[in-house]
This record gives sequence, C-alpha cells and structure tokens, in this order.
Amino acid sequence: MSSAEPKQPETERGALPDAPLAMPKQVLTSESQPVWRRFFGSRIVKAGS
Amino acid sequence: MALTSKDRGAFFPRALGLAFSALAAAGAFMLFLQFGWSDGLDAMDIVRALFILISTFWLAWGAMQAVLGLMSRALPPPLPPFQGLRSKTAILVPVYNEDPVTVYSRIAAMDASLKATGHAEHFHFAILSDTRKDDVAVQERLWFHRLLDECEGEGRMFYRRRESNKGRKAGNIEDFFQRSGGAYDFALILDADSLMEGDTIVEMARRMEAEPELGLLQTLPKVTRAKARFGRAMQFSASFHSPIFARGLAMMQGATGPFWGHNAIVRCRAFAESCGLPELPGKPPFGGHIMSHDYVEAALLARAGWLVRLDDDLEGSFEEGPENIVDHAKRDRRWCQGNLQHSKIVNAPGLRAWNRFVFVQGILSYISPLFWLGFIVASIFAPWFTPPVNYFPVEGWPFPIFPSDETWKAIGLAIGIFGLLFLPKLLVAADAITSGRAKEFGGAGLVFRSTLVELVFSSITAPIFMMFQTRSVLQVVFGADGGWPTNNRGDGTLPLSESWAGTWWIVLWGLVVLSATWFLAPSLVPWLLPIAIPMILAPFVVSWTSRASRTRLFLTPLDIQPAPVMLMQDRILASWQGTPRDPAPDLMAVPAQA
Repeated sequence: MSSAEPKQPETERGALPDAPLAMPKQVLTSESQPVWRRFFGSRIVKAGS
Repeated sequence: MALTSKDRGAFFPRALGLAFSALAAAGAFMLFLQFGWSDGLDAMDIVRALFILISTFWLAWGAMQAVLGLMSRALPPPLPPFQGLRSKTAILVPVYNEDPVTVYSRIAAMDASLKATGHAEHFHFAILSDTRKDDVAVQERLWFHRLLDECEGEGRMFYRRRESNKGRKAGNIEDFFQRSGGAYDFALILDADSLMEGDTIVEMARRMEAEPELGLLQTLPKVTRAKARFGRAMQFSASFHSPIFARGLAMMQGATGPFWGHNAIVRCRAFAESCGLPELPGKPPFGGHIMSHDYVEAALLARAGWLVRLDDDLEGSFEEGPENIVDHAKRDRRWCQGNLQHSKIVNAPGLRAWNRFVFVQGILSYISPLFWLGFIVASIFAPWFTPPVNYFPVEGWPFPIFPSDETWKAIGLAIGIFGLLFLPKLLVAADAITSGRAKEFGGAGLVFRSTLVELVFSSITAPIFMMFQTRSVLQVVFGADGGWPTNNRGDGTLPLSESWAGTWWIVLWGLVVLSATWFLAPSLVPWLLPIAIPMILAPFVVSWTSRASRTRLFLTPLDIQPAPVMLMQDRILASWQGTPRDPAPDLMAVPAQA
C-alpha cells in the first residue's frame, strides 16, 4: 500500500462527519517595515542627505 | 469583544516581573563594569557586561514567574451550578507514526472514564492520522476497528488518514475543522501521548459553555510514566515546580494565553475563524509552514478578541515526556526552529502587545545559551585586550597607585546569578513543606532531598543542553530545516555507544575550550570546570541518566496513587497486548485519504 496509489472509496465505519467549517487564512505578515528598520532607515537617509 | 478585565489583573504581575528583571539586569551590568574597571575598562569588558545584562534579565524573568506563582493559589473560576452539558465536543487525537495499540488504549481509557461521568454522549473521538509509514497505517486501521468494537464506538469514534501531511500537526487539525468542525461546539486537542480524566474533560466543556467569550482553555498536563533517571527528574520538576512557574506565567499572560498545543479545549467557531495559518514567505527554516503553531494560534485568538486562559486548578491532565537527553534535544531542536521562526510573525498586524512579547520570550529562551557561551568565550580572550596596569596614573605624583581589588564584586555577581537559578526552586520546596503539599511527594525530607539532587542534576546537564541549544540555533540561523522527526516514546535507555554518537562533538568542544583557557587565561580554569567537566563527560552523563531509576527520589503523587484513567489504560493495554490480532487482508488494502 502506498500513499501515491489512486484514491479509493473511504470505508463507512468510522468516517468523520461531513460538516465543513471555513477556516480563512490569517494575515501574519505586515505591510509596514519593522520599527527598528524605520528608525535606522530614517537616520541613514538623513546622514546621506 | 472586550476582554480587558483579565488583562487589568495581569498589569501588576507584568509590571513587577519586568521591573524586577530590569533592575537585576542593570545591577549585574553595573557590578560587572565596576569589576572590569579595576584593571582598566576595555572593549571586551563592555561586551561581557552586555552578555551579563541580557542573561541576567532572562534568569530574573524566570525567577519572577516562580515568585508570582507562589503569591497565589490555583482556584477555579466562579461558575453557575452544573446542570448538565448542552454542547458537543470532538476529542482530537493527532497521530504520526505512533504505536496505535498504546495510543488507542489511551482513547479507550478516556472513553471509559467519560462513560463513568454519565456525559459520554456529549463527546466524540477523532483519530487524525498523519502517519507516513504504511505498515503503521495498516495497524492503525486494524486496531481502530477493534477500538470501535470494544468501546461500542460506532458513530462516536472516527479515524481518517491524510494523504499528505501538509502543515504538519496544525494542518492536520485544520483539515479536521474544514471537514467536520461544524458538527461540534468545542474541540479538545490532544497529543498522541495525552491522557485525561473524564471528569476533567466534562469540566472543561462546562467552563466553555459558561463563558461564551472563552476561546481556548488550557490545562497544565503532568508528565507521567517516566522510568529513566532523566525522565524522572523531568517528571518531578514538571509535577513539583511547573505548577508554580505556570501559575506565574499565566498571571502575567492574562487573557492572551498560554496555549501549549495539546490538552486544551477550543471553541470551534472561534478557532476556525481566527486560526487559519498561512505559509510564511520564503523557505524553511524561517519560511513555510509554521512549526510552533500553538503560540501563534493563541495570539490569533486573542487578536480576534477571544479569551485564552490557563486554568491550572484542573487536575487529571497527563502527558509523557522524553526519557533521555538526546530525545529531549531532538524535540527541542524542533521547538527551537519553531520559536526562531516567530521572528517573522512578531510584527504581524493587530497582535496584542503581550503576545508579541511572548514571541520575543520564546526567541530569547533559545538564544540565551548563546549569550552565556559568548560570555565564556569573551572571558577567555579578555586578557589579550586588557591594557597594562598603570601604577602612576596621576602625573607628577611620585608614589604608585595600586588598582583596587574588585574580585569580591565578581564573586558577588556569581552568587547573585546562582541565586536566581537556584532560589526559585528552593522557595517552591520551602512553600511545599510549610503548606503541606510536600506530603503528596513523599514528605518534607524526601522533597528536600529530591530538590537538592534535582539542582545538582540540572547543573550537570545544563552545559550539555547549552551546547545542544547553541547547535540548534546555529543550524536554524544558517538555514538547516530540522524537519518533523517522530517522537520516541517508551524505554529510552541509551548504551554508551549511542550516547557517544550523539554527544562526541560536545566532548570535543569541552576539551577545546578547557585547553584554550589553560593557555590563554589559566586563572579562569577553576571557574570553567563546572561547565567543561560535564561537557567532557557528556556521553557518560547522557547514558547514565537514560537508565532506569531505582531510588525513591523524585517521587510524585501519581507514583503513590496513579490516576484512575492511568490504571484503566494499563488494564486495557495489558489485555490488548496479550491478545494480538492478525491484520485482516481487506483492511490492509485501505489507502490514505485525501
């Protein structure tokens, strides 16, 4: 038996109930730059200008 | 959803913890600078003082958790009188190449324990297999049918195996919610080695029903069934010290956690709405699936306005732990990668400030050994940076001025650091002896001896853990993905050859560091011996501590009186192991499901 084999019908005994619940993907990455990068970035720009 | 009342309660512990830790760190920093100043301040003194600053902060933070934990007692929340359950709870048992006989015996025991409460109809079991080994999967399915037959579990017990283990444990749980989460109010998330009393499970569901804003309720699992010296020391510590430390932690975390990934109940709707985990951009170890998902899920629930709480008054929650240092280090390697990965999430939008701080704490807990190591290495090389002593610093003054001896400050600093390490555990022991809690652990004398031996034990093993953690951090930083190795359970005895294979590199580093110190800074050798000797003896330490313990030391209440559900599992397991059944051909042909 291999997990790559074609899918076969699930056995009736012990099959999970069919009651889907949506699970939307959450946003974990920030659009804004980290505070330290903003801080040092502004200093670098000022020093260069 | 407003959930500020519990957070207001957390303000004092947080402020106290931060203030004490900052004060201790600043004091240690200043003391070390004064010590360095005595023979002329140089760059290496400042570097070492910074290492001391961070390390002391971390130690003091841990000590404060114990102090705060000792300042309160575990109490149940106020609840209305119990009039039966109205909800439906799925008990989720994720498995991954585990021995199905042992895992299912736990399920059968929990089922029997639930039936004894009279509320079993409110609970279903779902075995969520991510097993990759087909021979194990065959056994899982075979024994599942036996479980169904013996527990009369038709319609209450379910089994499914995923074709791909995408997202690992978090993905496995997510797959359940997407397939069946709508059928349940709550889901009790377990590990394969979890075991819980029926009364505890019913009480958790009751508390979830009573507090509609409660998104997640965590119990404090006790480590059980340890037999080896290392395992029993860990088990004692988890049973004796951890409840106090965990209470302190929970006081500080307030309504935002903690969640340790298992032996916790979640509100299905809250979890589904809030905890869909995306893949992080980039490749592992920092990108890809989120490994230490529990902290992230707690943070996401709190972000969505749900209460996340540890109720440490709940007994009857158990797990098993690694029996030897190498297995512990393997698990720790995974946790290390997971915690360092949180550096990509700490800046996530909308998170509560304390959850961000928890991520930072997790990262610090893994990189702190590097600071100690950095301090040691910097100390070995420090004499090369020390300027020659100037006995005539005042121009025109004819007499030599000798630098003041500040050695006492270094000794005082060392005593302070050891105090932060040892005092919390000694305070927990003193509290147990005065409060009568020590009786549950075999009496005051045995508790005192166990505490002292545990302190010696942890002092000897600490340098070995420091090296394992340092290696883990460096592997992750340099991009090595540790993957998801199967947990070794059961007897973990390691012969010397296996122990050597896992620790020879620590011996090598111990010899290198000691030799370098001998040549570069011989006066530091006595200070370094408590670290170098355990490193050089690591194979012996690891092998010796993996062998069965034969003393009464580290006795726990569960050794004296095992929980009923543990005894039930023993009986079921013995009966199953005594009567193995041959795999039926039709069951062997069942493939994994998508």
